[in-house]
Amino acid sequence: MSEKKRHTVALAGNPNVGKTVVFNALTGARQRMGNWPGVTVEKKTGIFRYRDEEFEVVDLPGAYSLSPYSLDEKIARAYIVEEKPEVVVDVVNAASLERNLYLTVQLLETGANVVVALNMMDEAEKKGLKIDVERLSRLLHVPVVPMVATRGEGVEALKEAIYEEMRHHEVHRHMTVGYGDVAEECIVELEKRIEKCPPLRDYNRRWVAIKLMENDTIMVGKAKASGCDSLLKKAEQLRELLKKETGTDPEIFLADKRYEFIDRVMDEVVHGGTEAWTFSDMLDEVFTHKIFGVPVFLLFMWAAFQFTFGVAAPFVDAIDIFFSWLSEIAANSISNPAVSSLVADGIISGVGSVIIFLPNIFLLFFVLSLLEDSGYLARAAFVMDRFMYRIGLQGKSFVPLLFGFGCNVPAIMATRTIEGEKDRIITILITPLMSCSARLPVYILFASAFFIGYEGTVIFSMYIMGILLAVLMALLLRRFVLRGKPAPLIIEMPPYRMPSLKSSVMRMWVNGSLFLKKAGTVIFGGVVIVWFLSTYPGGPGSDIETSYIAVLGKILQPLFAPMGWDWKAVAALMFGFVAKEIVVGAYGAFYGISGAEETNTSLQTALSSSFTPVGAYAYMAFVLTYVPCLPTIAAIRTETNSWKWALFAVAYLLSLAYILALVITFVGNLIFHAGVGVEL
Amino acid sequence: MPLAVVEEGKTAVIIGFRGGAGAVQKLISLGFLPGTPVRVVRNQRTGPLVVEIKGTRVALGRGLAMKVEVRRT
Repeated sequence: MSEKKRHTVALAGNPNVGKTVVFNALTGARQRMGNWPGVTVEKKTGIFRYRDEEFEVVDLPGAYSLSPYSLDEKIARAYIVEEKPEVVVDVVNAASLERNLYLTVQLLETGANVVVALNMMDEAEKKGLKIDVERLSRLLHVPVVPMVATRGEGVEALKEAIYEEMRHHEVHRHMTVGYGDVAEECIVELEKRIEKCPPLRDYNRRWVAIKLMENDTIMVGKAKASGCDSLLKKAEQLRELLKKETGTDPEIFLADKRYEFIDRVMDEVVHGGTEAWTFSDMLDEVFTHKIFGVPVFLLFMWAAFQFTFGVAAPFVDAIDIFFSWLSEIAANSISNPAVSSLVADGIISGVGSVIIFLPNIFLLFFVLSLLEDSGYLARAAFVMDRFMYRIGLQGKSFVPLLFGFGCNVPAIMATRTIEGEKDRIITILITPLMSCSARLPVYILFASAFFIGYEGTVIFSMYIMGILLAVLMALLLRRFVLRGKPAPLIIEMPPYRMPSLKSSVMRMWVNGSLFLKKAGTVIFGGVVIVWFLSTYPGGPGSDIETSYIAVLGKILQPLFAPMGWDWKAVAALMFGFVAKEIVVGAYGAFYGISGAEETNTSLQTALSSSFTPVGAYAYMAFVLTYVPCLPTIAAIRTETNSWKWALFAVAYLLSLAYILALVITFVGNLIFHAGVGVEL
Repeated sequence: MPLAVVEEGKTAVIIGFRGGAGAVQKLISLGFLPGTPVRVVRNQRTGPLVVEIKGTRVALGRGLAMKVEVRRT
């Protein structure tokens, strides 16, 4: 092979140990795929070169152990034992070494080539901890690299350690943890028999034997599937034996032995440390307080939204002016009417009205990243747990739902931290009701056309309506579709930290540009289709009433006659399926808005002749609720691994939207009957 | 007695678990093991608890805290 081989490195570690920072420090800008805030579950890879060798780094999801009970841990474990990366870097928080070493010990047991990245040395120092790095390395039989990744300290040393480990590529045969005479005999006994069970031979024998002693569901399942009955029978016997000898369940006994080993390591390696009342404890006193917790939470959320939308406003205006100007230039300078119409009315006015909301999306991701990195998000889950529990969910469901206000796609991906399968599916199914920022353009357009002076209140009511519907649906789904109790909350509360501006900006950029890619491809295509369907077969300048889209809209319009929507409203809805922002783009194309006037104002004028205020409000509610956009449906499909739930989401959201719009029209007309049929 | 009834500020020692393998494994991986002391930082009668174990703070659902058997120290 003349082409040089790329070496594989996996990055493992507990949540909240700065794994993402280490990953960024190693790979810099050479990354593929963005990670979503809250979780690093998305498979993220990056590349770095060191001494003429190329390394591909795979960022594994955060895990506390390699047990087969949570999705994150299953993914991490499968990668390590199935893909067998050449080196596994275990990122460890030096300030809570004891807890972190539990994963380290388990990684060592798989037989992987582990390099320990002892991160957050500064925090350990602040706690007054002195860590004997060399001794730790000797006791674990693996290289240990002290680091402060946020300041870039230790990054080169880590690369060197990875390089060395890759070159030696020795198979670790030493025993890290001794489990005591009886258990060791059981393990040796099982190791011998694994030889006769082919699918289990691919793994480290000792590790498999330990897993069988723990009655590990994945390993037992593998053995069962290939008919290794005698092995399983033996394992069962030995488990019974160990239980009788030790008086505890083998899982607990083995875990206990691991911690015993860790305790010994801690005794030899770590010195000092004060149990002082820290600033972090003081903050917790307030943020998790029985009475103050909720107001503080609401305050933070309010501040987050104010920041997101307030700071974005001038940028939004600038982009608006720019696109109006661009559209005008294009319309005037292209002589061919078909091309001129496509560029000015289709592409520029359509995509322009989408890109205008990018500042909001960027800032929202920035704020969410700050909240998470500061450690507050875990407290938010704690504060919200009692409320979420009442609607049949747990505190962790709150985080993805919060992200849903930014964009439903990453929000649905963020549900992977939820262990309970049913909890996850319910959270996924109600996430589309969180009014994402893509729906905001529609609200703004309608609110400023019909509810002058009350825009803020009307838009806010959409968000509240979405939340109420989500609560209702969560209760109904739990009651009728996915019965059972929510999985219990268990979440680490990391010490509060000063969030790093650099990492927040980076995540803002990754997530924001992902949205831009979506806007650039799916939405661009969608808007051009809208323009085409609304311009042809007649061609530019022809009556829009003869266009394809008019035909489609008119066919479906009777369904929506009770709400008083015209065919343009119905046709625009159909294109909102591609992405909800397109509803605005579609209107832009319908009314051929271009020229001197500022886009939104002219659209508003055009709209106010086709809706009553009640009809407009019902329409906004329909846009809030009906089918999630294509990327969201795709996310539901991949995350639930079935079309069933994706189609279920589409069907239930469509029905819900229709009923909601009907109810709003009916009730609204009862209250404001004067408003019915008023010509504006 | 269950961990869920330990008052705020008190410390107790874990003596065992009641409940399924999944929940127990998760507890174990966070350091909840028989013989380990736990300090209850927050216990507000309803909703989850905050406990300190092996130098880390963990938020724990009330249902789960009911499954952890402890002994007062």
